[in-house]
Amino acid sequence: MPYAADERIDLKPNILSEYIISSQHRRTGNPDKCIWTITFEEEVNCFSNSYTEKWISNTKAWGLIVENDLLKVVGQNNDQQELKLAKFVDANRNNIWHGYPADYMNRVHDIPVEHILKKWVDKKYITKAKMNKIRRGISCNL
Amino acid sequence: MQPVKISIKGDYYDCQIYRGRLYLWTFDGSLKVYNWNELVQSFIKKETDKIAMTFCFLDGNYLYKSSLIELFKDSDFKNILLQKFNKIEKLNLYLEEKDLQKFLFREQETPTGIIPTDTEIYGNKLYFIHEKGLYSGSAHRNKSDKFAVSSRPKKIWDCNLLSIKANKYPQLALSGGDEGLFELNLASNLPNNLLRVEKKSPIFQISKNHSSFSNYSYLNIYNTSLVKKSFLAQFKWITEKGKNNIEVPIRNFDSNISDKDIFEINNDTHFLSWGIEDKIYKARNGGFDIIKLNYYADVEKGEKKFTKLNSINLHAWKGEVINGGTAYFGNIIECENALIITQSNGENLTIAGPITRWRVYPRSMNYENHLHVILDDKIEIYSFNHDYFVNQIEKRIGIQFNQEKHRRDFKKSYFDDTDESLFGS
Repeated sequence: MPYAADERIDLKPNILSEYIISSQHRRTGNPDKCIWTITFEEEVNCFSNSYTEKWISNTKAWGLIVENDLLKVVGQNNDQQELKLAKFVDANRNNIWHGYPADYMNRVHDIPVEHILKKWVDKKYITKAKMNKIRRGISCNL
Repeated sequence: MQPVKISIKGDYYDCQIYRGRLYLWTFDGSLKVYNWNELVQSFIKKETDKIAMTFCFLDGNYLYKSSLIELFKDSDFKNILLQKFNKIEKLNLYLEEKDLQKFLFREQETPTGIIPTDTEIYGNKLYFIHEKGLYSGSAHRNKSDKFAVSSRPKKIWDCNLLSIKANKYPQLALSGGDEGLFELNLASNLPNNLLRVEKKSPIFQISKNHSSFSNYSYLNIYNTSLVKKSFLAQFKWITEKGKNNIEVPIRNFDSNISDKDIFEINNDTHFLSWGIEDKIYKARNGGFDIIKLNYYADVEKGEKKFTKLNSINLHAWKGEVINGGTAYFGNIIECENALIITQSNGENLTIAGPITRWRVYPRSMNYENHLHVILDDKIEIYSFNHDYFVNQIEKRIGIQFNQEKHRRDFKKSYFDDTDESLFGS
C-alpha cells in the first residue's frame, strides 16, 4: 500500500512503533527544513532499518542508506547541498517518529551520537576519519 | 630540511601531549597515558644523537632562545646542528603497540565512556567535549593515583560543542556550531558586557553566529565557520574599581570584524579562513592569502591593522580544503585526502590520508615543534626543526615566535638548562 504524508504509519509487526512522513520535509521554501529527495517508501525503510539496527539514542535515531557500498543521497538542505545522513525523532515520546535529512555541518544537533557512528565505522559504512570529521562538523566526502 | 618522525602503531582517535606524557584515546574507548620522555629516550642509541633528539621531541622551545639565534647567524654553528638533525631524520623511529607497553603510565576507560569530540589539557586539567557536553577533570596526576586523569570529571555545561581551544589568559573558546561561539572564562575578573549562559560556570556567549572552530589571536578570538561567515571577535582591556576600591583589569568584548572586511572581499561566497596570534589565513584554490595583524597600529599615522602579505601558491594541492591550522613551524592545510604542511622556510610536506585527526601545540612550553597526525592504523609524531633558523619578524608562514614566550629562568648553557631527569638515571 503506498504511503501518504502526515498520516501515522503502523510498522507492526516488524517494528513496534509508528512513523509519520512529515510534509514539511517534502516541500521546498522553508529555510529551516531540510527536504527528502528519496521516495516515501525509502524514507520509511530508512527509519525501519535504523530502528532494527538500534541506531537510537533516547528519542533520537539516525540512519543512512547504503547502495552498492556507497551512501545514497537522502535529501538536501536549503542551499541545495546533498545530504547523506538521516535523523529521526520521537518528539512526543509516544513512539511515533518522524524524520528529516541530517545537515550535520550546519546543525550541531543533527550530528549522530558517538555510539551510532562507531557502529557505522564497524560496519564500514564510514571510516574512522569521517566519523571524526562528522562529529566536528567538518566536510567529508561521505 | 625534513621533519623527524616517530610512528606508533595502533587504532587511535585523539591525542594530547602534556608535561612529559603522551595521551592516546583509542577507538575502542580506552585512554592510555605513556611516559613520553622515556619513550623518546629509548630511541637515543648514541650520545651524539641525544641533543638533537631532545630538541626534536622533548624541548622544542629551547632553540628559540635569543642568544642561540645569534649563535646560528654563524653558519658553522648552524651547520653543526643541521647535521645533527639530518642524521636523526634518517633513523627509523617506529614502535609497535606491544613495544609501547613498557612506557605505559596508566590505562583507563575514557572518562564518561564516550570518546571525546575534542580535548585540551591546560593547568593540569583535562577539558573535553562530546554530545553530552563540556567536562573537566584533573590530569597529570601522581604515580600513586589509580588513574592518570579523573575518572569522574565534572560536567561544566551540557551544550553539544564542536571544538574547544585554550588560551593563556585563562580562557577556553567554545565552538558550538549553530549555537554560536562561547567562552569559558576562568579569569578572576569576568567581562561585564557579555551574556553569561550558565549559572554554575563562567560561560559567556560571544556570538550567535555559527562557529566550527576558533583560536586565540592574543586576547581576541578568530572564529572559523565552515558553512557561514567567519569573524574576528575583538576584546579590550578596561579597568574597573573592584573590592577595596582597587582597580582591576577586565577583558571585555569589543566588536566583531567579518572575514569579508578583513580580506576586503565584496561578494558573499563562502571561504575558509582561520587565525591564530599574529596572522589570519584564507584558503583559496591553489593556495592561501595571509593577513598580518597589528593590534597596535596607529591609524592616524597611516598604519594598518590588517596588512595583506603575499599569497602562497601550492602545487601540492589535494582537493578541497576542509580545515586549517597554524603553528610556529608553518601552516597545516587539511584537504579531503591529505594534510599539507607549508613550512615557514618555504618548503612543503604532504602526508597522505585518510587523516583521522591532527594536532599542533603552539601554546605548550616544550612541544611547539610537534605535529601529531592520527591515521587509520597509527599515530605519526612529527618534529619540525627549521623554524629556529627563520627570521621570525619577516616570516610569512607560521606564528611569529615572541621571545616573551620564554618564561623560564634562563641559565647560560644548554646543559645547565636541561632537565636531566628527562634521561633517567
